[in-house]
Amino acid sequence: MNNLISVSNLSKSFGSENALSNVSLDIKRGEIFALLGPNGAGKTTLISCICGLTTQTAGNIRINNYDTISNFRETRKLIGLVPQELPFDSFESVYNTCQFSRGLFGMTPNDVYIKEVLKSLSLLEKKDLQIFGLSGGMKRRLLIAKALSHEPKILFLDEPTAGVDVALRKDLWELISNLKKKGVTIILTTHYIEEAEQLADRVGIINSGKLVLVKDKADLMQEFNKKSTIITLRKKMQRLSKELKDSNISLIESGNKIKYISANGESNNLQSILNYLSKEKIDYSEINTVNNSLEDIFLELIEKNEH
Amino acid sequence: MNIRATLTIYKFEMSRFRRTIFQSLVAPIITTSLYFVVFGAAIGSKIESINGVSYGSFIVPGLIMLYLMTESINNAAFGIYFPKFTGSIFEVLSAPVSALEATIGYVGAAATKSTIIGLMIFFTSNFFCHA
Repeated sequence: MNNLISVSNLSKSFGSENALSNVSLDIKRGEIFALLGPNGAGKTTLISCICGLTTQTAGNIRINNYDTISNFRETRKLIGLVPQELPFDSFESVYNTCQFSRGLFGMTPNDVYIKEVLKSLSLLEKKDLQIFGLSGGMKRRLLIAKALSHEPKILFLDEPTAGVDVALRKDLWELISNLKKKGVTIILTTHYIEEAEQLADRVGIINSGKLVLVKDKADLMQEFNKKSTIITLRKKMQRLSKELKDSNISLIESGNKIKYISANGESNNLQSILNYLSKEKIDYSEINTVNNSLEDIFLELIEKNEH
Repeated sequence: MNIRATLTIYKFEMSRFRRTIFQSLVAPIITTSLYFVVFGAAIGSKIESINGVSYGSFIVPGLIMLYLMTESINNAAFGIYFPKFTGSIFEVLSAPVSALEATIGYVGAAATKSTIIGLMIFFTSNFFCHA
């Protein structure tokens, strides 16, 4: 069976508030799955249901073909969870808190493995420090170390790089890629779309508790492939002339620039815009063309979904 | 049954007890010693012995039980509610640990701690009261 996690018709309500509505999702073994969505979309609730932190109102979740409620021991021992916040017993030492996490999963203490994990996260020299003495970035890394301490097969990363500097973010990306190479299935939620673009094999977009789409990242980028061309004018244009009236052409920045969006497969009207500018003797100083990023696709889909 | 998880919780709680030895052990002993001084020595010296048992000796079991019970409830409650307050309880909730196993770990550690405190108070009482 290729699917490691199968979520079927999952719903979760908090009183009258529906946090998740009929969500169905399959996560493949060994992939990095990025779950994207605005604040309050239901990302953390979905993760909490899968990890057993909260019980679903309806639907079921199977991990490695075991039900997460009736066979919770089998499913939970496969999962490592890195939560969004930084919850710690601040007075415990770095090393002991990792051994504690390992013990909770029924595993014997393993000094060599824990030190290896701490080393991979640049925390080995801090192993005897109390947690309150660590910086925010170190605490974030410690959460990952704790989640890895029982050698999980599935790793949930709930916004792992929030509040982390650029260098450390790149280190974490490398760590995530290495974990994937070792066969760990990774489910990532993030606000940094660049992160999903960099790491994910598949992308799921969730909004208002509903899964808007699930697609291979490459297919998604292909399907929503658009190019934006910005022509910077030397002189402000008051309005677009009739010849340029097209839903893909617009005036931006108070008429100082013309934006033209060429969608996938559409004929390119750039030449006709340039011809018009030349005919009307409208000078331009710059032409920039950029490909649509995953961030643009995400915003477009969320906007469509809200309408 | 995940016995190792129960033992892990037990050991974690006992390590917290060792780490906070002054608040956990020394403070109750000092407080009880004050009870022995005030009730046992000061007031007790004015009360006659009954069947050969002095007032000071009479209050020892009561004071031991007072601390045994309050400390066992406090420790078990703190062990569970403090992680809930800070959010670190997520680890226990997402681990393959049943509610019973977690309870045995927390309550077992609290019972051990309060027994140690009770015994220490008993030994301390010998300095103040003589049967």
